[in-house]
Amino acid sequence: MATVVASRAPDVLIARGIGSCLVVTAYSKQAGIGGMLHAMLPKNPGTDSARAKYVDSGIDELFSRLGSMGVPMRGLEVKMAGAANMFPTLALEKKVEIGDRNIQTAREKFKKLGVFLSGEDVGGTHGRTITLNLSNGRLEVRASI
Amino acid sequence: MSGALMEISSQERDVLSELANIGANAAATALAQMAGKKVELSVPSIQIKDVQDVKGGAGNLEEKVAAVYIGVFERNSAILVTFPEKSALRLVDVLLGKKPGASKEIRDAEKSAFDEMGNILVGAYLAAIANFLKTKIAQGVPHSAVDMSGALLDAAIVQIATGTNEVLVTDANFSIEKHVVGARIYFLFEPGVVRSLLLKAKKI
Repeated sequence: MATVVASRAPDVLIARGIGSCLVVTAYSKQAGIGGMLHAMLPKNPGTDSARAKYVDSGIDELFSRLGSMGVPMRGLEVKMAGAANMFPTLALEKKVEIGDRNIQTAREKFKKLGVFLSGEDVGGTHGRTITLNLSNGRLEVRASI
Repeated sequence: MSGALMEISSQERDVLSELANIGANAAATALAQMAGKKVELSVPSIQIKDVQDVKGGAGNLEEKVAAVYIGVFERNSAILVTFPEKSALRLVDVLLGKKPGASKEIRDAEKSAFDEMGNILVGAYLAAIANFLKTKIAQGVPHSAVDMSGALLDAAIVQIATGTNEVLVTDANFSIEKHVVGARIYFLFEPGVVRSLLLKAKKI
């Protein structure tokens, strides 16, 4: 949770049992390098140095990490998955749904950065295991139910 | 804020384990009463983990579990109890007076029984601790779901993640009707709650 990992082919990046957390992946076919953000909450209040904990600062962290590996943001294949509503009755009670807010924050962030998503599998009420294959950029999303 | 994982002395750790024991024994008694069967219980000691590391020690994150989430104290604290799906079904069989193996899936009737069981067990658990500490612990309604354990855990953690850094985890293994049930209990508390519980315990 609250991590950015980046590596190169032939590694495989996996996030298992993702509920309301949002996973964002970015991959460069040319470089065979990619990264995965596993964020928990939508917006960084500004004071939290755990940047990957939040969708907005986590996305910055993901691109910055790839940038430091020599891979610029332009030309990256960006996808997102996760952010489900695992306890629907709880969301009704609290009147706020973190999964949805994670998705919204990501969309706003991508719009601001001029990033277009190549794919997404978000929302719903089921958990997911998300795998990014750095040999070919393929993102596999598996639900248990 | 990260790295501020609460440091407690081994004495304080013993106190927390003692509280977990008191709670678990009360829950086992309540379960025995509900089921009309004998319940035997073993409760290992309690662990403190950083919120961001909890999933790391949570066993197979893709294991299908039935979980019940109950808010406690204020809005930002909660208890999450997870049971492997098979164990949850077996418990539901016992509670509904069905033959072992009769319940195949947690749907409407089974879900109600599971929610109610969660409500009563957590209630008994917290009441015992509150009683021991001579304090009050408010409790919300149960919310349950069946899915990958990692997914349910992260959905519960994000409810309190803005506030806290640490999660207390304990396992409660009990046997009922020769079936062994491994429940895992996560205490997702707002910062300061654990400290204040320890302070109250000192005054006993």
